[in-house]
Amino acid sequence: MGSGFRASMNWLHTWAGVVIGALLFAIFWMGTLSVFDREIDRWMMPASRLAAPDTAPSLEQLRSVIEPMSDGGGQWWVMMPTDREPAVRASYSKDGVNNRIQLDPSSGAVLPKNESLGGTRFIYPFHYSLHIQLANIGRWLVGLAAMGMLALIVTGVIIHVKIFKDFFTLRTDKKAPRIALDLHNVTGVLGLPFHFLITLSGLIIFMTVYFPNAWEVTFPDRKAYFNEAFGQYSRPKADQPGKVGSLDSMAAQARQIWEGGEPYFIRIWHPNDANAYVEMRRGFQDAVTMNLATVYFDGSTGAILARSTAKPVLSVQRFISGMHYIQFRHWTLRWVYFALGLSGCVMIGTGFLFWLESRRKRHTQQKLAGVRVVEGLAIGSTTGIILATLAFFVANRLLPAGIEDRASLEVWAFCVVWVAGFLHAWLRRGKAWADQAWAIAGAGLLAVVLNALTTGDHLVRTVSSGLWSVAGMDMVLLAGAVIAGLSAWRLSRKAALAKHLSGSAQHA
Amino acid sequence: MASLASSSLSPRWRNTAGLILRLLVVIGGGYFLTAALVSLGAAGMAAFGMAGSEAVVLAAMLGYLVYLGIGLWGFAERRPMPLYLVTLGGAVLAQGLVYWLSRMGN
Repeated sequence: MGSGFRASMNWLHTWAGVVIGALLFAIFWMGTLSVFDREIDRWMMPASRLAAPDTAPSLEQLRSVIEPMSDGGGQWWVMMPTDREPAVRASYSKDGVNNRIQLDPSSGAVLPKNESLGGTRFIYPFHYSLHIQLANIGRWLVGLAAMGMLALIVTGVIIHVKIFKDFFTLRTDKKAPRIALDLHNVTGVLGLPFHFLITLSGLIIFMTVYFPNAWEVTFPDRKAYFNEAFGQYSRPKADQPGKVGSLDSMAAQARQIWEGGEPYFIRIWHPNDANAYVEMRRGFQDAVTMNLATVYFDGSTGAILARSTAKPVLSVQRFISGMHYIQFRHWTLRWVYFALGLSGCVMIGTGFLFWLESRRKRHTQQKLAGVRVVEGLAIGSTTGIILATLAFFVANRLLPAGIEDRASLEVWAFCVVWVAGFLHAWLRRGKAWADQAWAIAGAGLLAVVLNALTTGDHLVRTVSSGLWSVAGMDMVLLAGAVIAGLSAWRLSRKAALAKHLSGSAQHA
Repeated sequence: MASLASSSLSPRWRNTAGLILRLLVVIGGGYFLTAALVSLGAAGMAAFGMAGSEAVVLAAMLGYLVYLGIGLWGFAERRPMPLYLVTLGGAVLAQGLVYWLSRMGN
């Protein structure tokens, strides 16, 4: 571990980075993509490429579609469309089962079921849970990695005191370890506030997961804490028949209370009972803070039963959460988040490279396995996961519509390619970086071509018709393919040059 | 630790064992210490008149920074006594206090 404070911090930075770097890259990569999860949904679910409606659909119109499908028991709810999510999502209960559907916002017609998990149900949950549900292990691993990230950032600053000099230093003419270190420092220093806050805010979102017993000394039980914090209202059924009045007039009341804030989640509890009540939650599009503002109406009279808003500290928590979730309307900031997320990926990747390049010679001389093992890990967890993500997109466009388990086959494509990425990296020593970069360039291009062939929404059409979700996805895929192609070309050229040099040295 | 240091294990194995032990007590012990401090801190702020739910949220948010501090210190501290006293002794003591106070309160 070395002696002295700086040395021990350097030790911690080096080894924590190598041990959790792979996990951190996966979390950063999936988080960066989640910035555009709804847009990825549009690309992967062509049936949902609807034009956003000019005005919010009427709740009574939606009710006339949903209520006949339900058996009147339990509850039903609707989630209103947003700028990024054109369809109305709804749920109704029938024979004790909750069914989820999507509706066209203009006609109210039921849309076909999604045959893909897309960005919102594969990429986004991967970001915070790794899709490991068992005993919440996935979330705890992500939490531990996030704490590791905070420790890496702090130790990185401690070992790196010449911070403002290196801020402007990028020596592309120097040797590989130096370039990797410069790039690691530039992205690390420039992105420092973002990387620190995005990690801390991610942890703060899950405070009840990571500190599940925080209420223990203050409240008699968890329910008492939740009731005080979130002010949830509920009342039992009266077991007398009843009827819910106009939802649109309740929504108008809610808008008035929220001074223009829109209801986005509307839930009807005990629909056909005399004690029916309506819950309306305020949307998030108009502010950073993901407010908890909720109004409860009496179903039959439309009178307000309860109102709740977050108290000051909880509002701060909701502001911090909102900074992480970015559900507010702001395209420029959304792209900035995307770019800063990618800078985090570059920082993790170049950290790996610096570790490798500064040890390669010594490990080869001393016949140590370290560089070989870590290089495979680094390749599989960086270019490997990018390639796996592209396989997920390509599979989405190649699998025929309507086949059984289509959504899980896409996930299989991701998993198989990711595992193959690690194996390839360990087997094809010295060539794997270039191979995988070529594969990324090819797969990115292929995804764009397949989208055009299978849906007809090629770039010319999407740009001219203003279908920016699909156009943006295609453009990012193309830009990624170009960057990967250029990197692959440079890597191959360098490898050929090295081979040529070592060859002529042997001849001499 | 004294027994570990004076055992006949080779220095390399002793280093590895020491490292694993340190990882466990800093990450595990540090977490249980932090979690208990969050519960106690919330109750303390509530006792000074803050709304209970607000105190819990504030304590939990600050908890991450406390854990970060304990973790960094745990890897920088060279002397074994303070390290184990805080991460193990402190965690047991604080968790015990949480257990006792929450039973007493109800």
